[in-house]
Amino acid sequence: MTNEADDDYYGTASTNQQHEGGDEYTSAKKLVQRAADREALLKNLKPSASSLSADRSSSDVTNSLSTTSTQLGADFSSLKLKPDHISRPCWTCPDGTIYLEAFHEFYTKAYDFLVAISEPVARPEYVHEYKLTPYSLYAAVATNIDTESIVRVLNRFSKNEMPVGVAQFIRECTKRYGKAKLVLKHNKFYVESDYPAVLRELLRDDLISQARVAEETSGGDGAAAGGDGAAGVNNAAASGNGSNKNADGFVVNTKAEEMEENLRILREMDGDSDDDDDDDGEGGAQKQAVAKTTVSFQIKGDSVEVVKRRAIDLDYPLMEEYDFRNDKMNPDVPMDLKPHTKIRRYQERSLSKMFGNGRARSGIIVLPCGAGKTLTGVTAAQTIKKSVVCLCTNAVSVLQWKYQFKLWTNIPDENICVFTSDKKDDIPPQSAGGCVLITTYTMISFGGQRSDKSAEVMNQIKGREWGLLLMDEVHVVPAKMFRRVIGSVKAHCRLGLTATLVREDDLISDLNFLIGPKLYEANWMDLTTQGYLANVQCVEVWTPMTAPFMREYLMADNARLKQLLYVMNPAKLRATEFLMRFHEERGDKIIVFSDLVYSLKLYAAMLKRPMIYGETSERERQAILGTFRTSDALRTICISKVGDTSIDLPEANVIIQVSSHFGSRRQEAQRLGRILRPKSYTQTDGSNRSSFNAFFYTLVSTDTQEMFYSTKRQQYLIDQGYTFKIVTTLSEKADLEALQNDYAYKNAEDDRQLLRIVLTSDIEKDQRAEDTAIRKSNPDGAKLADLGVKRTAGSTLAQLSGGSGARYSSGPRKIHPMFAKRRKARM
Amino acid sequence: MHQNWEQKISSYFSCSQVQNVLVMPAPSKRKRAGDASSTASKVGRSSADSSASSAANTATQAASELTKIDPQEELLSTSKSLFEYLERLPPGTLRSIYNLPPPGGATVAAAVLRSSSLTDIARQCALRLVACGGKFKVGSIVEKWIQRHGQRDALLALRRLESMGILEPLGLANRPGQGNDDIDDEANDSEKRAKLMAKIACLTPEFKGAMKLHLSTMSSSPWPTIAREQIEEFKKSGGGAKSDGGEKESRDPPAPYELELYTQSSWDSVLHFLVGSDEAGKDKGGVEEPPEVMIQFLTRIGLMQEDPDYNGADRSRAPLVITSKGYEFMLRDTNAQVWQFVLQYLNSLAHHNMKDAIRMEALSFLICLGSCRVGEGYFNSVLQSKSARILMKDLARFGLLFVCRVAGKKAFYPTRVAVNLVASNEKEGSRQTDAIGQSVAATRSLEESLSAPVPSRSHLAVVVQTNFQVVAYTTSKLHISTLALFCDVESYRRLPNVIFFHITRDSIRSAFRLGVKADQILRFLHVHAHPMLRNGDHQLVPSNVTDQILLWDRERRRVVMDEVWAHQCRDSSEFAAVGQYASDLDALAWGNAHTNKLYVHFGKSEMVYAYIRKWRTKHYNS
Repeated sequence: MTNEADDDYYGTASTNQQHEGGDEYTSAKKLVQRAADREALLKNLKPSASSLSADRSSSDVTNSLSTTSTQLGADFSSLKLKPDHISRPCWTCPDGTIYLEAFHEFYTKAYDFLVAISEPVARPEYVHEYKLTPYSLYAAVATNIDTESIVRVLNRFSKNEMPVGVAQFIRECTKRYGKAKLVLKHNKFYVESDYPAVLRELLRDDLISQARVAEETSGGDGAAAGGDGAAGVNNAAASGNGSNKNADGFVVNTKAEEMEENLRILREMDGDSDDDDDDDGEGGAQKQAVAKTTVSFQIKGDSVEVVKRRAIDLDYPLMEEYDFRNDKMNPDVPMDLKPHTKIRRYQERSLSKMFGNGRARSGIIVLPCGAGKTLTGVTAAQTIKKSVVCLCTNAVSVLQWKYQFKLWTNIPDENICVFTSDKKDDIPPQSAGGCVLITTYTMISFGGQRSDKSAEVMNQIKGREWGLLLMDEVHVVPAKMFRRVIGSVKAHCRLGLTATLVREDDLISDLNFLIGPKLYEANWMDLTTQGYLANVQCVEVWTPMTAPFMREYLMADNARLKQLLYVMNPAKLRATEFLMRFHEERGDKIIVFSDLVYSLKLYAAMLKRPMIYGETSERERQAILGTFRTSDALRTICISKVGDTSIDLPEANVIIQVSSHFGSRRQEAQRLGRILRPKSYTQTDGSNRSSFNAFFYTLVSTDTQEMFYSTKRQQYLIDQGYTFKIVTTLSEKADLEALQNDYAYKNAEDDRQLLRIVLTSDIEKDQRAEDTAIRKSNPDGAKLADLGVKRTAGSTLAQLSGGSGARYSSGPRKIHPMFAKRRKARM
Repeated sequence: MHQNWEQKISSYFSCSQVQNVLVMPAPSKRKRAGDASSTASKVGRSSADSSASSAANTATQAASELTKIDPQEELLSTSKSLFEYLERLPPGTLRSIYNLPPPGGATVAAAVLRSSSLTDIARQCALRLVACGGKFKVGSIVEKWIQRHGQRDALLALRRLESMGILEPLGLANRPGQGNDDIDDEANDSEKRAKLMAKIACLTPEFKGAMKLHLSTMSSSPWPTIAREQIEEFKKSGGGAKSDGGEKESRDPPAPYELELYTQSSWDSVLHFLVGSDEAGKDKGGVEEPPEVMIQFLTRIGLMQEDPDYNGADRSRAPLVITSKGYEFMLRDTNAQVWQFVLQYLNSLAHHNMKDAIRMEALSFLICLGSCRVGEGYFNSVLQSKSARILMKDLARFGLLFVCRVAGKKAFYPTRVAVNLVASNEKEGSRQTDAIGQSVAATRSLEESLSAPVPSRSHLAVVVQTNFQVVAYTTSKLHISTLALFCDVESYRRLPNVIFFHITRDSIRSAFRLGVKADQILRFLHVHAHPMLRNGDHQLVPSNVTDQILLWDRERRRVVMDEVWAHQCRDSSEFAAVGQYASDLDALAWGNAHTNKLYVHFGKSEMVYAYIRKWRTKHYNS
């Protein structure tokens, strides 16, 4: 894959024209590499920084410390503490880690600042940990926070004297990022910058200067006079901004004002600082003065790609901004938010990051499940009011998105269309105004033979300009798929939405360049306290393996059987039934999750409750979900991993997880997300923290692999501030109850029978059937959800890394039933 | 090595009978230390904890074998605080302590009166008796002074006063360990009661004299302090010039911070040495290796031992390593640690032929120190007896005192540790002082030191987070070493005034292997919790972390060893009967019906055995 990409990149410009998407991907790869280099730079800075400080204090002691620090952890105790450190909330380590005291009086201010410039690593109750990364700084620059402000404000918040290396790192990372922007304005492309020098440097490149719109190059001393005439064309359109030209022939504009809210984090701190640090205050004022104007030059529309690529080579990656308000060429979509639509504070916050200066920036917004990602997306689309392509993971969520669009806005039916394997609406012609097209990733990126209808729609998509590319659950999409998507959809602005920006592999960094920086990430715990999310009690229930099962477990030689044994542990069955009975009595709605289809069937049979898995037909599925939502007759459903994402069950408030996908942190978070939607009785006055109104049980068989996986899975949520309570005694209670209340598996005889069934069963068959069914019904959903995670004992490294993108094309898996039968017979 | 130590100690006490003076803290420990090293040498590279556990087993046997030890001494050696120690002394000894020449006797009497050894009623009674001439009928004390419902408490109070040597014997006395029930019997039995009520409660002349002396003394400190004028006068008279002549040099009295520094360095050096932090000796902050005597003392009281893994030829050169008892010691707070030291010191006097006199001297000296103020100094001349001066030198070794020459004379300055040793114990038992001590004054001082521009070295404030991160506000290498006992050292991050650790299963388990117990870790985290957590209703340690640590602890004890007594029954009827009896008694561990064999918990085996004999005589002999 990499080779192919490299070839693409070093190939001539003409071949590149054919693979725009692929080219973009290569550029992103290049940027990722550069970011990694910068990060390495910071690591290399560490020893030099400590040796620097060693000169200051007594050298022999610090030397002995730094030698030990290489072996054990990191010792930055030689950093100098400011005398008034107690009134400052953070520590800044030379390696870019920032710790924040969450109980400090300046916590909120520091928090807003830190989430803007750094990546949150862990946010528990008292001390948060953040990390400065090239990406986070890139994101900060993208939202118009300039380098010196970052350094200055960070220094002000820091308890210790800011390490030289960190300031260097910040400057190094932000020196070039965000200095130049590619702005689409009045349907013309401009390269815009605050700094004329940057533009001059860019123009020194041949390809870029060739791409510059010709009349600008009249040049020389006559520029002032001749320029007026030439610029008249431009100024006619942009007269409102009072633009003129400077000696270089650049168009000078007043800078688009950044929204007050986004810059407040910097200002407030300025206000605080007036008494203690005058120099910095002046510096801030100067900065404001400098940033008032911008310069720009126009480039030809057809050479945008070339300019972008060259800019990356020059290490001035162009940030794209879309001045949608002045876009007169693309028709508006007639949609407005309905009056009853209420946007929450954090949603507004995230959108203000996106539309900070009145233009639309590309980027990713991270909101927890249940916190209203869809509404955020709809509002963004509504703000731009241009044609939108909305990409979802499967057909079910396509329908949900359509429903949400209609729920929150007054968009007419004919302007919203759906493009899935089942339903292919016609895209209305440009003259009828813009439209919202909702489809799946696979439909767009499908590489094989398409049906006539489908190909026709695809051509329409490819042939148009889109205002916004909205991508749901963006974390599941492999990079390779982006190449196709980006190649097919020409959109001015891209917005990614996700709940969990973690992957077991490390492909997140690509997204920073393919889509854009992370614009906003909400704090789960804050939203919980404010009552926007249900307050979930996470419980890990330890169920001891019964003796016969443990014996088999220890003797089992294949991982599959081992897994089956710890999932089918009778103690677990009893605990599940116990919990279900307990919560049904309380009037709760319960979801039982099991990854293993075989066990799902057995659990469902034991609990006498309906189940949904890959093979369940759409009609049956809707019927079950409908009953669950509306009627009290059905309080519990069993779901396989098809329910991890995109099945919207706002009523459910209890999850019992009996088996799970190994150590996947994301699955844990996604499953928790199923019950995060605030319950009707959730308090919104801040008192939410004390009382739990949702429960997330994970049943774990003690002394098995499951213990290990469970610890691993919880890491993401623990970093978000959740705590897992371990319960060890529930199993005993359940055993007792089982005898008294006549559970399905109550005594040793039942256990033995179960064991017999388990040992003789063919679980592979079920699991395969499930996989095929999932693939057939919605080719991307469950597959996507599990991409990059080990699913069978025999998976390869390529699969792990998400490199096996081949599975999205029509691969060898699709065997005609006849051949399949024959192959089976041979085996 | 031992010989060396013996000589030094003996020189302190200027005693001819060297062999007798030198005494181990407790025989069980000596036995244990010896066992540990011998097992280790036999087994070669056997792991440290296995030999330690085998040693522990033999230690219990050894304790019972060596019955020569005085049970009184045994009781004393387990006291948790100075006043508990006093309580356990016989009344006669206490009375002779009260009788010590001033300031000793008077200060002790006052301190006992203030201490938690006495209830409020007892304190009230004693004071009233002092004021009313010292004699009163028990009847009137109990019935007239005290309200009706408090009479039982009054009797208990009198009994306590009696046992503390404050009242002449009334026949109520009851040493600690006996129940309180008999006092009810006595009170109910009308005849006995009448007799008791008619008795006269009389203050012991020793206590009465001491109290009177104390009440009539104006000064709050036991000895005359060194006044500023004395120093200036000395300087004027040219005392400074004299020092040039080769005589010992006089100096200005130490400043408070100097005392603090001295305390930390002398006490911390001991602890540093214990945990083996490489910082000892290198740090310019003044921490250096403790004196040889101290090191030997550490091995003597079982906090350190020669490395059992050492396989060099010369055993005497084996490096010293900390024992599990030492780890336990590390996790205590400073007062408890100092007390432990002092206690061992007092114990080491147990076999001295003049032990009572010296012990009395030592106790009164310690209590006198408790009523001193930090920063005030005293000339050596205030100590009249020779043994008291020797004592002073020894206590200086532990960092309790700072000794120097002031105004041409030898002087000593009590440090914070010495003063707190008594002061903090006065209130409650040592367990509660952890909480109370941290409550108000300590929290404030901790807050102040946290906000100090240059962090001081003594504070420690810990925040434990739900993600198992330990955030410790400290600058002391010692605290870090202590935390490193149970935190993951691989992933620490140290900043100027804070250090970040993670608690992992492995780190906790390695602490367990060293002999640290889960509740010790938790108590340590509780005691040193950040002051911020104490305001409001925060949990000092998140419950999930607490649970997890306890679970990790439980993991180690999944197989429970139990001592049982096996009994082979003659037939199934005996099996049934005895089995029934044993299970009623909750003594049955296991029974095998095929072989008619019963396993009974060892603790209850005698009762079961008695039953078996009874059953057999009944069934087989008739």
